[in-house]
This record gives sequence, C-alpha cells and structure tokens, in this order.
Amino acid sequence: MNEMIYGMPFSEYQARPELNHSSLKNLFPPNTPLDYAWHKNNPKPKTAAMEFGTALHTAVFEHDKFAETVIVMPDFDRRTKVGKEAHAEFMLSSAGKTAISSEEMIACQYILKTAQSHAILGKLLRAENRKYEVSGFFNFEGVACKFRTDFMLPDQHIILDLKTTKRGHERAFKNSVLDFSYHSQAAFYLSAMAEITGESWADFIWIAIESVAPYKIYLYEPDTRWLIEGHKLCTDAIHLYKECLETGIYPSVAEEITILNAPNWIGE
Amino acid sequence: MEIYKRMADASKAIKAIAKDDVNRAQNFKFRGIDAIYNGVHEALATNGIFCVPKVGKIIKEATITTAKGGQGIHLVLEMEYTFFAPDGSCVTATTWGEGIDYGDKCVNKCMSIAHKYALLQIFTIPTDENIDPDAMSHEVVSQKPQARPIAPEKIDRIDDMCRHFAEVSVTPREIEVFLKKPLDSMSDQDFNNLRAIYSEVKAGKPFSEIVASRESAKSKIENM
Repeated sequence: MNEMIYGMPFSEYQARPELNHSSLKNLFPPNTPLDYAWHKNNPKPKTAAMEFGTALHTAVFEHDKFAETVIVMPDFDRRTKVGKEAHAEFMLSSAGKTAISSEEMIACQYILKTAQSHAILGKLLRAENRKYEVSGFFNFEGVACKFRTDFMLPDQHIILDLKTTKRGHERAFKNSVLDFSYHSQAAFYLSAMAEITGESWADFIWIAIESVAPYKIYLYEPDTRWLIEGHKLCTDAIHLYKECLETGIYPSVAEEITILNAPNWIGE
Repeated sequence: MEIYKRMADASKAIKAIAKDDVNRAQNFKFRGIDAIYNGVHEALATNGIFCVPKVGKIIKEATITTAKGGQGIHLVLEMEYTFFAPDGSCVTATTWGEGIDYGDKCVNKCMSIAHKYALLQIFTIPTDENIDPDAMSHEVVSQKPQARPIAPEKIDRIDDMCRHFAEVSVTPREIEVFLKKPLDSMSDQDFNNLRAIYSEVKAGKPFSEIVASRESAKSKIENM
C-alpha cells in the first residue's frame, strides 16, 4: 500500500479515495466530526487566492508547464449579459487550466525571478536530485492516507512546502501556521515519508512568499515543539476519524449552555 | 496558634490546578510537582507559612532488574512536612512517596511525590475539571474519544525504552525533543534508531552531544 509517485497529475491524485491532511484537519479542535462530514460533502469552490497559489506553485516548481497550464483571465463585465456569456465561454474553454489576472501573471514572473536569485531558495531550486510534486500513499495508524508535497530533497530527507501569504514576517506567519494547521501538515507529510521509506524524516521547511508586492520571500523551519504538537493533532484526529467510521456517527458540539467568560481586559 | 487560620487562608487563596502534564508512555494526564509548587507558593508566602520536610523512615527498599539486566532501585519513603506560622505554631503532615529509578534520582522522586500529595490533600486543590457525575450526564455523543487507544505492545515498547534511557539519565521529554515527535507516534525505525543511540550513550557518549550533532534542515541546506 505504501508508495511514492513522482509527477502524478493532480487530477489523478485528487481522484484517489485516501484521506488527506486537508480533510483530516477538519477534525482538529475546535472543529467537530460534523465539520469533517460537512466539508467532505460540500467541497469549497476554488477562490481567486487559491488559483493564484496554484499558478505560483507552477511558476516556481514546474516552470516548463507554466505556459500551457496558466492563462490570463480577461476582464469581463459580469454585470451585463454579454459579459456573463463571455465569462462562461472563457471558463468552458479554459477548463483544467489555472486562470489568473494579468497583474497576478506579472507577479508570478517576478516571484519566479526573485526565487531563482534568492541565496538559499535559488540553491534549493537547482539542487541535484530535487523532486517536485511528489504524491505519496501510506498507512497512518491503520487508515489509508495520501499526501502531495511541492518539493522534496530526498537525499537530505527534507520536505519543503510553498505557502502564499499576505504577510510573511515571523509574527504573522506563526498565526498562519496555527490558523491553517501548517504544523500538523508538516508532521503528516513527515510521517508519510517515514512510513513509505522506512527511514527517519524529521526536517521540514516552509517557503512563505508574500502575495502582495514586493513579494518578499521568507524561509522557516518549524522547531521541535511545532512538530510534536502537529503529530499529536494528527494522531488524535485519525483516531477520532476511525471512531466515526466505525460508529457512523459524526457528532457536533455538545447541546448545552456554556457560560461565556469575558476576557480579563473587559471592564478594567 | 496562628497556623490554623493561616493554613485556612492559604487554602482559600489556592486556585484549581489543571492536569496539564501528560504521561505519554501510559497515556494519562496528571498534575506535575512544578505545577503544584507554582500553584501553592504564593498563597503560602503571602500568609507567612513555610514548610520544613523531614525524611521519616524507609518503608520499602528493593533492588530491581529489568528484562535486559539493567539495575534499579524501588523505594518507598515516609516523609513529614511541618508547616510553621510566624508565631512558631505548626502542623505536621505525614505522607509516603514511592519511586523507581535506574540512576541516582530515586530519593528525589519519592520526596517529590510525597510532597505533592501532602500539598494536594492538605489544601484539597481542585483539578479545574468538571468531574461531578451529575454534570456529565448529558446525552450528546462526546466529541473526542476519552483516551487515544495505543496498542498495549507499543506501550510496553515505549515503557521499556524509557526505562533504558532513564538508566542513562535521559528523560522521555528529551527523547521526544530528539525525535521531534511524541513517544506514541514512534515508528519501528525510530525504535531502531533509539536502540543504537542508547548503546552509544551507555558506552559513554553524552546524549546532549548526539542531539547537538544531529543536523537541522537549516544546517543541512547551508552545508549543501
């Protein structure tokens, strides 16, 4: 069951039934199993920010595919009937491609140059035996799981993940890690690689690229506490997931009245 | 005899102490000695109370041997704790502390446990948990399993490994920090690596040196 595949098309990866981290994190507190079940049955449509993120990943890691998979979306006046029809026609003709604005297209090209000339990231992008878009399928606590990482250095046992963010400085990015559970994602991917390869994997790097000009790039390595906490979140959630699967029950929050304590600074 | 009033005032001032520490090998939560000291120190100091410990007697002392031949001590000590008020009045509590250690920390462990339970019981320090059975009788399905199920054989392996590392004065927390993951998330590969590391430490290489020699992603990349 454990396998790692390089260059698997995303659509093929997406169609696989295994549990991924994005689904698993819907079970992390304060979410409930109901959140997991809801999101599974009601997948969110891709937002413009997500489209830009996809385009940027392609620009940085799969530059040779950029021209054929990323296109500029013309301005449509979707308040008019003609504009609506033109937009619908465009969406139909560009199905399967990533459509971004002309400003975002310029940003992608600028960021690619910045990344390639970055003292450390540039070196990583030129590293021997680097692997992009790695898909993995593995057993995690008895559950069939999958993961897909942007970038990996198998010889060094390092996984790297690109994150677009409005603000990439340390304080802001710490909040992003907590908000989007990047630390549990790192732990999940490292567990996957350990399971697949039978070797120890404990090193992870976040490549945080600001999505607004001047598109600064930050590189972060999670410290031990992030990873330990990330592992705990994943393991607790996977056991909750198994329990829900066995019982067929996806509970919500307790039906009770909770006293909501005011924060300490209120009324002072 | 100020001590009675001062002890009662201190008891009033001591707030609940939650079970924030986790024994990951056996998967239960507890209140560590540091949390207890942090919780009671101010109340005792404010009320002018100080405590004098005295080792009473050895209730039990036995040498133990692990499955792999490691030697340890199993000890039960009787401890007396006398709480004094500024006027010299005092009350004394006697508790027992039990500990097992594979190095030179057995007495420390007994004293810590005896002191912890003396303080917990004298001041009846609540846990900040809702454990009233009547309050728990709602019928909504609980959101989380009560305890993460860990296979008994894995618990045994973790226990065994922790015992071995305790012989060379390496704590479970230090092992977690080295692995960058909780003990119950250890893979077979991690167990194998730790076995090799244990042999090195047993042979005299400091664990801290092994930790320091392990490269971070940052240093690996810088050395590329």
